[in-house]
Amino acid sequence: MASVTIRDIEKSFGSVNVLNGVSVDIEDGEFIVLVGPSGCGKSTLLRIIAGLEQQNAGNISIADELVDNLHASHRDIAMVFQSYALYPHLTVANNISVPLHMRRLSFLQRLPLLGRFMPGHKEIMDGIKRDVDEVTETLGIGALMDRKPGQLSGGQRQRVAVGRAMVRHPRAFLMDEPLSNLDAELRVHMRAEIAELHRRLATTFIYVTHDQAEAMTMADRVAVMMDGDLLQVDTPSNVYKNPTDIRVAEFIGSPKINILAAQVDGAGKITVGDRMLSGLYSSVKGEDIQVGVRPEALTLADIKAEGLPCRIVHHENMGSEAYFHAELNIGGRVISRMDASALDTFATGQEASIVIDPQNALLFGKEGQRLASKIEVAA
Amino acid sequence: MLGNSSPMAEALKHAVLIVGALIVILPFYVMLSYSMKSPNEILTNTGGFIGSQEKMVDDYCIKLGNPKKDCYRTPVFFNYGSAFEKAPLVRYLLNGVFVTLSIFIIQVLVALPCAYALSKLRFWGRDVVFAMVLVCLLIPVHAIALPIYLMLAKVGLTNSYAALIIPWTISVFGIFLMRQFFMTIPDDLIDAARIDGMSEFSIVWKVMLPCAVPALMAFAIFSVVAHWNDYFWPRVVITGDRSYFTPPLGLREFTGGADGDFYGPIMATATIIVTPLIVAFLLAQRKFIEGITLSGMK
Repeated sequence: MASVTIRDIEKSFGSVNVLNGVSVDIEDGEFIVLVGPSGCGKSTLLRIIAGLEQQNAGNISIADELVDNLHASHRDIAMVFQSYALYPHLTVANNISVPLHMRRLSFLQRLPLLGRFMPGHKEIMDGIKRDVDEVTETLGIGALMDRKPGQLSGGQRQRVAVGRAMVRHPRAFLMDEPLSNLDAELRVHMRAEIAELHRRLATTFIYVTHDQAEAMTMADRVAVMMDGDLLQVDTPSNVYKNPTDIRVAEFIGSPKINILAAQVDGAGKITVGDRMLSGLYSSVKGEDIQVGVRPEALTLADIKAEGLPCRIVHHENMGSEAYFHAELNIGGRVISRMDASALDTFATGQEASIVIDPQNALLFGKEGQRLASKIEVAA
Repeated sequence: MLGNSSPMAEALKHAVLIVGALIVILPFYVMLSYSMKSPNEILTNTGGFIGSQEKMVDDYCIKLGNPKKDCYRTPVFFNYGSAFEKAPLVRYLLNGVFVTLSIFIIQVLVALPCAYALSKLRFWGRDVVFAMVLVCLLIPVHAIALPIYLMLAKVGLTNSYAALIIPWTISVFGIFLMRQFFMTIPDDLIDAARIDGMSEFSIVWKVMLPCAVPALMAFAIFSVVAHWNDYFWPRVVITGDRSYFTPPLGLREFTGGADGDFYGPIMATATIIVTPLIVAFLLAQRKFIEGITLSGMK
């Protein structure tokens, strides 16, 4: 258990900059998820924390101790890989005990054949067996001990990989997209299992994924990365409700946030198309801005209602709710998320109008930076 | 089996394969047949596959002054008997086993760390080193045989096991083959081993070696077959001392000389030499083919 501090990490491969000065403080026992599209540098950052990659600049400290010059094996962290990286020639029990063998047995005790005759060998091996049994018990893989990785299913391999990481009680767990090789159903299940594991172990977890749903459901805090920059580090609900950058707003949330072009007049009033957003004022005045509206903050209304006229081009019934894809008459496509009962009223091909909830509209400048807004309830 | 090829095309394919197989098998057939026949049957090309096995007269036995009635022999026993009696064939076979295994083991000890470094470690000049390995693949053994012989002679190592083994201990082919195989092993596995606390050498022997067994089998065939059958190099460096002879050199015992060639014993010796390889191949056939196609992984 330890805090992890990342300070101004820069990394480039040849002339390509992968990380441009990333800093983040991860608290002891925190579950932080690094999320971003592929190629954003999140895996590289994780590998730098692990000590598998050397940064060009910046420092990493674990438990307030600089680890930049420490070999991966001396940083006392464990890593779970996307491909699980289990030793294909070893049984489950041996896979899990490898880190303990390497740490507890001396060079002589590890020698094949001769090692077992070295003093202390048996006591240490008994201790290793106890610890391995404890871990496999926790993970429910006790029955698989004598199988090889090739004879296991994806979910079982994943558990073994987690077991190998858990067995030596590391100061932090690093996980590099551990669920992306599993099928959708199992992924949702393992998501809960890993979150529970984190609660039980109360150890620092640093988890990398490109799946925003994983980030939102598991994390204490989400760190959104894009093009080698850390855009925002915050709780899942803040990242969703209060994104500081349009790229964060677009990456987090499914279906994606709707972005509409808007104009601000001299008084700060905002107009989208020919409709004014009542009660919403922008901090910048007399400029073109972008308005982000989450699908649930867009509602369809009758064509005669006060809104942006549109035509419904597609609808998706999700059971409890429905997504409507609409083409705006002023140009552009939006998605609205409504209760499934809306399907009684609206269907593909219909003309309707879109009503924006000003309370939940997010304002972004031309460069994508978040703009302050003020809501005044009309008297 | 592809269902869409016509019977004619199938027949043609099989005909070509059968002819090919016959061409390959024929010399072995002749070898096996001659190893069982009397000299007279060999020269007149009679007696079918195993010969009539009529008693024949052993000329050498008469030369030694024995009465003719004691010198009748059954050809098959005569051929195989003289293979073991006139030449210390058991000793040659053991030499062969020792030399071939030593070469293979040292080649593996050298090739695995080299291949690991060339495929998984990032260091300055790696590509140049690998290019040099590839260039070395192009150099024929015979081109450098003389310099190597001279060097061995200078340090007084001719007529020794060392002369038979040392020149072959670094196999660029082995390095190349293993490097190509290691490229297919995911980097994650190595990173996991590093985090688990293994040193780079431990990774080579405890992770890469077990993963590379299929590729090592393929390499083992090439290496063992080449050095077991090698006639050229032992002939060059073993100039006098027969106790270092490898099995192929044993063949020389029966060629030429005032008595003419003894085809029967020569062929018996050849049969004895190739038998271990054929038996080994048949026993491990499946593994070998797996190794050559490198499909053993996953």
